[in-house]
Amino acid sequence: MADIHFTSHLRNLVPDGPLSAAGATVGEALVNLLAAQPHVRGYVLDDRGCLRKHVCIFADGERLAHDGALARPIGPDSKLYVMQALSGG
Amino acid sequence: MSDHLLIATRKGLFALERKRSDWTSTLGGFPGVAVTNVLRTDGVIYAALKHGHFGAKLHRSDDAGATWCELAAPAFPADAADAPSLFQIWTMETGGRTHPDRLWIGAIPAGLFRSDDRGESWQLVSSLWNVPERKRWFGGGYDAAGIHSISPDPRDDDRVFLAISCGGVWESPTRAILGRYSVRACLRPMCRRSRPKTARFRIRIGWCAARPRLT
Repeated sequence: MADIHFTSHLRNLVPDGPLSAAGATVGEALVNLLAAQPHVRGYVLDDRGCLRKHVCIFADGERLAHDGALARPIGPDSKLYVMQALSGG
Repeated sequence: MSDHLLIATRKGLFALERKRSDWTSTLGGFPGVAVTNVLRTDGVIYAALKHGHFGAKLHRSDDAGATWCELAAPAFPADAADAPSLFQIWTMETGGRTHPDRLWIGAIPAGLFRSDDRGESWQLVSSLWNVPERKRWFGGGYDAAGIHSISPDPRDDDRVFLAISCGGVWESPTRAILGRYSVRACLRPMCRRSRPKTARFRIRIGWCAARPRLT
């Protein structure tokens, strides 16, 4: 089960500390997790089930490119961080 | 004139109250979050939010803003043409006296959504979304066109006018909200005559209490 951490900006929606979910990819783990946390789903995924444009994910220390983030394979000990994308100086 | 005002801003919802001749302001909720529209009706307040990263949301308060609950925001059905994602709730409007639980939302992209249960569930008005003219609509300051005004006829709540930036003014036939929409006018002729460039800007529409007759 991968550990999934959320940005503190979503802390009023999800409990403090990592949540766990099974899945062979980032997308599978997120979908499995958000099935149990449906009120968070619309904050991370859009109407189409795609990763929101300004949300970024780190998996095992690597920032994932937006387009392929959900398809990225993960292992049972992976650690995911769901963050808001920041830009500017 | 009301002694209570709700102001939706990019930094939250503010409530203004007039006591004698002075106005005092308090934070009404959602500090730091863009509130794109607020609607108060019969003791219920609806607030539309646009989180910079996390999308458009809808909240309702049944106790004058003391507490809020998040509702499911309207969404375009997966089988809707072009299948967009909701970008912003631009305007909200009540259904009128004969539909007390009805709420309209005008969105960016320019989808018209209707709820008949105080925002608990939503339906896209596909008859408007599917008009062929939509291909010629374009955004006025945003990437996509949006509905910025919704105005039910106070004499007949099932007759609804709406305005799109930039896509004209549309009218639903009486008692056929989910039926075919028709083009009423691109702009009122009087606006077009007097200020030709008016068409480039969005214009809110609404009903005048004086009931003027336009010819």
